[in-house]
Amino acid sequence: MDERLNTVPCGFVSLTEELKIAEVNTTLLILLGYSEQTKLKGQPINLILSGPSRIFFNIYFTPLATLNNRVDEMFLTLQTTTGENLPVLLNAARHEINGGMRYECIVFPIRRQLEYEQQVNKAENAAVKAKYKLELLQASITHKQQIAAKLEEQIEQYDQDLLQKKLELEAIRVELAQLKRSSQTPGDRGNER
Amino acid sequence: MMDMVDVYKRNHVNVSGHGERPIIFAPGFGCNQNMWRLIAPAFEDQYKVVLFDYVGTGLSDHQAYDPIRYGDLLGYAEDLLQICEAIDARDAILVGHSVGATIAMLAANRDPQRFAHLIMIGPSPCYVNDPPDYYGGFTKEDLEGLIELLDKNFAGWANYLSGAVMQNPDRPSLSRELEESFCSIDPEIARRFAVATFFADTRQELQKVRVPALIMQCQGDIIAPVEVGEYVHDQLPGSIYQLMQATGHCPHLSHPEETISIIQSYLDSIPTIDSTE
Repeated sequence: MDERLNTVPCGFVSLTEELKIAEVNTTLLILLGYSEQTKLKGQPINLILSGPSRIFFNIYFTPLATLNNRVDEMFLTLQTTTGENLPVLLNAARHEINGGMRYECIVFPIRRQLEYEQQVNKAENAAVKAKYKLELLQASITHKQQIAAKLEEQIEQYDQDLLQKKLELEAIRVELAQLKRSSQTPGDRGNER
Repeated sequence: MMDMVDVYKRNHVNVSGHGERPIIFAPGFGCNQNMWRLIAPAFEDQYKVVLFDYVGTGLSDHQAYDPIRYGDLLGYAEDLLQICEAIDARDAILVGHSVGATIAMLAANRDPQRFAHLIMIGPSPCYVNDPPDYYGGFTKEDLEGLIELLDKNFAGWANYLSGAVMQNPDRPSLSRELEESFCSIDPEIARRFAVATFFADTRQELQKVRVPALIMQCQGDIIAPVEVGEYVHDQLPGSIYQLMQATGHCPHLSHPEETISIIQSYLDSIPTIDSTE
């Protein structure tokens, strides 16, 4: 391997078609805690992937790398020799090298970026929750407003009914007064007789 | 009742080829029919090749996504049966990769008359270990971690895509992006599909298979390890087991020639009974 590629500030790993490690640069060895190339050469890439990343990688890498000839920004978690997780972004390109197909990959650690993203995610989740609460409150306000409107309508209806009844009562009073008057009138006449 | 559903549109069904007998390809987890690009054309001379996308993937009708229906593999199997009904499939050959093989099996068990053969590439009836008798290859924690990874890899994808489509429908690079992102999926849908897939236990279904089955097993496949392929062969009555030279989980992409030749020689060896019916 080119000496400069060995020490570039990102991990480099070249995979065979069988997804085995053909070459790996010193930067990646150091990131993963391996002392020598020989420990990784010829090993399946699965060896340096965390459990979940192994599944994800095996589902998506071959389809993307075969049909598009490249993979962009695949988020994976590598596993160091001490069992620690190393979050990385992986880019890969498929090339023919010395008559064989190779997947040339660079891996870029994103520990800090990930922390930031997690904070953003947390904030986003909090915002979503707050928004949900707000929506609930608004819904409850709307509901109460509807009840109030209905009550107002009812009050108005009562007022109208009351007015109606008053008018009716008034009418009855008038009638009653007339009746009284008319029943007194014949009596008066009788007295006159 | 289902006459109302346009299955072709819903599942982006594509039919090609010159043969009478349908060969239907069910893709694996989360990816669309592009996965069959390297092998499907090889069957067009002899068969009616049927490709489709699961609802929520590829160019399916995303409006038709129903979280309850697709919260279970049976929902996907019902869709597959409806596709078979729509194309009036008889004596069909059903090829499924990965969870597509499970979905194909569920469909075949519900309507065995329709299918002449079931071809399962890298099948697994249960991904989670069930000690002491069953080795699926994964712990529950692995699979929960996978769901987190799906979130991280596809977060923002749905927003990005809908935004891009709405703002700039004529953007020429968009169709290329769509084409290249055949594995991209809304994280919510991915999560439900992943739970339905990786926490499914369809071991009981294996013994119910009444359709002749071929099991194609890769070497060094960590998603569907050799032990699982052998288990499927052991439990599925009368199945034929073929250990491939291919390594990994996607032989139809990494080793298309071998995949084609195994399927073709299996199909060539079976008597042709369909043409008389």
